Amino acid sequence: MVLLAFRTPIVARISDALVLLGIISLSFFIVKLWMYLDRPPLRTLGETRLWYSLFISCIGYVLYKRWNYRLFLAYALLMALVFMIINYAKPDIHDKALMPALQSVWFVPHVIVYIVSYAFLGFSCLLGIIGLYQVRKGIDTKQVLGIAENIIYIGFGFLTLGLLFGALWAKEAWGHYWTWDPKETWALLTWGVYIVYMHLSLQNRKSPRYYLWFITLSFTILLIAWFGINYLPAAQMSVHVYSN
Amino acid sequence: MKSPSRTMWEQPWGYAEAFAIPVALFLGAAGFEFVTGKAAPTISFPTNVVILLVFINAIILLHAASAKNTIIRWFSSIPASIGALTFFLAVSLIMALVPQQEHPHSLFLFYNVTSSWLYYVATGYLLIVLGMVSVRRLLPVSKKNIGFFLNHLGLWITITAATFGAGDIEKYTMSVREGATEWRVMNANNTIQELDFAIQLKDFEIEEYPSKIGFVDMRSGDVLEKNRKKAIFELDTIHGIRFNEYVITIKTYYPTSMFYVQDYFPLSDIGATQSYYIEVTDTKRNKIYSDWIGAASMSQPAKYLVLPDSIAIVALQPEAKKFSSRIRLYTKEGSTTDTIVEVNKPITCNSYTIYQTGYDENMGRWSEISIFELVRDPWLPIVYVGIFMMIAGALYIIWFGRTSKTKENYVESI
Repeated sequence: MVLLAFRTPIVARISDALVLLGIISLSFFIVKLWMYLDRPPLRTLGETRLWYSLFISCIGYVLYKRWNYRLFLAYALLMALVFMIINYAKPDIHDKALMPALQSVWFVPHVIVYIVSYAFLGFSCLLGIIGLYQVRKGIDTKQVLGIAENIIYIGFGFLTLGLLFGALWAKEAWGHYWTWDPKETWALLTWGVYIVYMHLSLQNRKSPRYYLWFITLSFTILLIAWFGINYLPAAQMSVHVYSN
Repeated sequence: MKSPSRTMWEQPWGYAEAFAIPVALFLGAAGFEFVTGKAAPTISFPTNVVILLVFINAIILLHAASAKNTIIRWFSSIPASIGALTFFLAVSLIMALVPQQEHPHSLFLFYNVTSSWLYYVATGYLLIVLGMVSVRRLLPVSKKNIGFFLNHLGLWITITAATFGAGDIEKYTMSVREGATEWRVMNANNTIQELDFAIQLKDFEIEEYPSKIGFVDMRSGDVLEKNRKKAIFELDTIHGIRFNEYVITIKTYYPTSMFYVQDYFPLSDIGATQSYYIEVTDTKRNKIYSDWIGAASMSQPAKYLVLPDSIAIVALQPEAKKFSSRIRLYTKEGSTTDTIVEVNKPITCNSYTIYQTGYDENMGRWSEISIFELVRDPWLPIVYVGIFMMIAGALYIIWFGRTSKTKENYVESI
């Protein structure tokens, strides 16, 4: 991860090799654990954290190869590292009762794609704020806006996957793929707002400031869907509010 | 955007019209509901198929007409798309903010949005616009359109199948007693129907998590708090449990046990409960207390350990880890199948999907009743086609991102 900070080709090659080695050894460990337990290690939260680490590193590496976003790979590896450290240091933390509805193979993919999506969209929001600062200073925002828009596309792709994986899971767990549960409704609103943005930006009619504000504010809707929902009166019956 | 030289409704149409039309539709739908005072009817087979075919034909005809008519062509433009999507999102926002009720007496557009006229108008308008957009880019078939096609047509198929198919979904509950065989089910209106297969409940089982241990104020009955965190702890035999000056070590844990005279004994009869023999060290007063604590069950009261200052240490009601039913399915054709139904692991029989939903909660672990939900959704395969198209579309977006090409392609085709 530290090596990513350097741009020289040799260092890049070494860091590539290290990331791959990390991914391979983690996969190997999970396979061994699977054989040892004689069941897929997906039951406790500690075990799901292993999968988080593995998949998030893979996604980080693939997207790094595709888009050369070193910062995202660094973020992905950091997240993976945090999950691993939690597993080493406090394997039992939050190893709380995983209610029956959560014990599913969909749990890991559903959560991971959302973690990745929120990372990208959060980053786009940050770029939005940087862009707005540049507007104020009179600097050209074309480059920042361009990167932000590409990042929104990638983040939106993962957001779509999260929503759809959630729908497929819901069919298995609750009998229907869409029940207008408040969390689902807010997730749909978030998704819709980003679609609106993607269409608006195709026309490029307005000033960059307008788009930058839109990017920044879209993320607030995302935050409502993520945290705010626990405080909304409409959401008290939600199946996604797990705190008692 | 409205240009200053143009008044509204004058061509070419832009964003003003894109939002005016939804507002008009909103008022129309709300007015219609206000006058009739009724929810929109649900349509089911074969009416829904007929309406769907007319609907698809209408979209194709509109598309054909759009070659000559600029107003009709406008409906597949970006402003119209944004207007239609915003309309649909605005209706969703009502649902997101107002707690929804199952059977409101009036104002369906607020309290039961999905059965209101407004919901159908917004969905219908979105589907017309999205349908026209999809058809427009469908031909000629080309590689550069593939992402567009997957995302737009996928979404159209998903929403269309979900909306038109909603009336054909059958949903029943069935409760079966251990040993009994049941073929009657109940729908949402509590009417009983018979199925063409039967379920025999062989065994219903619940696995529980170890009881959590909590500190309770005996005067108020509330759980104590520290830094706004409730003093409830999970079984931790290695590190022990710490709260303020108290350290609990668990000496014995029985997942199933019965209390007799002054001790718990490991028994698994009906009404057996979880119990712990704990040792509590009061580090401030340098005292040690020890006793049994046990969770309450249908046949036994809870047992707790009382500390000074009216604090009690209790074992809380255990939470279910897994519940499952061992069943045998009998069909009319005479076949029998033995299987297990579990939460998150439904099974399918004669086009019904059978879900484990509940049990007799008063009896808890000794429930002799298992409750199933049976769902039949003939439109599900079509919805899944749409969903998998969108998954492929999402992967396409992730891989290709917002390349300058995306933009050029799009603009040139408008």
